[in-house]
Amino acid sequence: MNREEVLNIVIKNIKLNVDGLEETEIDPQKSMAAYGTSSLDIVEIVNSSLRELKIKVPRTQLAGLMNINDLVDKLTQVKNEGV
Amino acid sequence: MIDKPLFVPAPPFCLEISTPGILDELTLQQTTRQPPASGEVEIQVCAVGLNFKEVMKALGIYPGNSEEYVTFGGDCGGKIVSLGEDVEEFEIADEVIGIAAKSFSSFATVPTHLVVPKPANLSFEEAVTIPGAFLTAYYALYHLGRLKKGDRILIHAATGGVGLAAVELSQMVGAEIFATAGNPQKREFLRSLGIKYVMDSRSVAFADEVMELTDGKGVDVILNSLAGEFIPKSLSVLAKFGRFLEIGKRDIYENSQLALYPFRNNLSFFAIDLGQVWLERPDFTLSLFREVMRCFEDGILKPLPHKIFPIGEVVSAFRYMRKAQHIGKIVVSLTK
Repeated sequence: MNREEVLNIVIKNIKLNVDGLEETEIDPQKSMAAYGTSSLDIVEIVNSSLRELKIKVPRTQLAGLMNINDLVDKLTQVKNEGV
Repeated sequence: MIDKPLFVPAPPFCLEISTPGILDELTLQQTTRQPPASGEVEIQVCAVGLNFKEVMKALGIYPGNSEEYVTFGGDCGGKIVSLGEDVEEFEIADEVIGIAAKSFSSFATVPTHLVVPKPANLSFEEAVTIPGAFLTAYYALYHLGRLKKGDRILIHAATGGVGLAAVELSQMVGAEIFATAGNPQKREFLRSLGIKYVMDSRSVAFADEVMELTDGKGVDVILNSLAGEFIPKSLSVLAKFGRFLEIGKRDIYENSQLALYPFRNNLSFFAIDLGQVWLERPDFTLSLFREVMRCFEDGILKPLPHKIFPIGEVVSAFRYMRKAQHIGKIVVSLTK
């Protein structure tokens, strides 16, 4: 799966989980918090994306990620390497 | 996102999730009733209060919880439908409130030390805002924190259930309140309660503000549920002989380190897990519960502000709490 597809899944889940972002352009260089997400919103966005990608990533490996791009990189890497 | 209403099966049913992680996977499943054992009663549940802990369990992030099949509990109110052997203090059809391990169910079986009569002047929806929030705040502020008239108290995240209960208890005793909350609407609400010093809970700037407002003296008691750097920052504004009341879980379960130097000032740190109190100290829990309820019967304390969701919209209730925009409690009604 290419990075673009993973990015689209993450953005879709951000829009599904946060009110008022339907028409908003999501900039992956920003953090999710910049779009008004609570810490638990982020948990569900990440869980939904993992479920859709059919992968598992330990929460500790996601803790230090700074922005949406970092998350997409991590998910793409796990998806493609099967680690 | 608009949540689809859940299918509500014929009772008895209970709320569950087979693989925690996504709130849409909460379902109401048919179940069987559990006859009360000695010292227990069975309640037909009319309303339940949602706690943050249950949302964390549903998302699979509650510390110490395995990620398997989960059911949901907490504050509940309803009518007694069955009594265990040698239960004498209740009768069938008594209207009660309490705390049940599996309260998101049509029927809950509960030990009697976690059940008290519902005050007649309150609806079930109002009454279920009381148990968890007020017992936690009462135990923390009065029993451990020895809060008294004239004390200064800093209440973090003060628009949540425990936070608002702590505000009421602080006002009742005549303490001076400093409060934090996460957005302007919440802060405005706190000011409307007569709290003069209201700050942002998303920034550690509160520490400088508290020191300035108290002429460098700090506060006597802190009720904290914020994580990470907020803990040492908060300790830094605790006055001599101050009491730090920790109701958060994250840093404790992550075994976070805390520097001891601030404690030279006769400070105390209390870690509070109400669930353990009611499991290990049943008689004490019941006496606390009765003291709290007397204040409601006398009208000194008021139920918390709350928003009601019918049971078919329980996913929306969980999601509403997940978004962290609410003030007070979220209540799920099984009769509305």
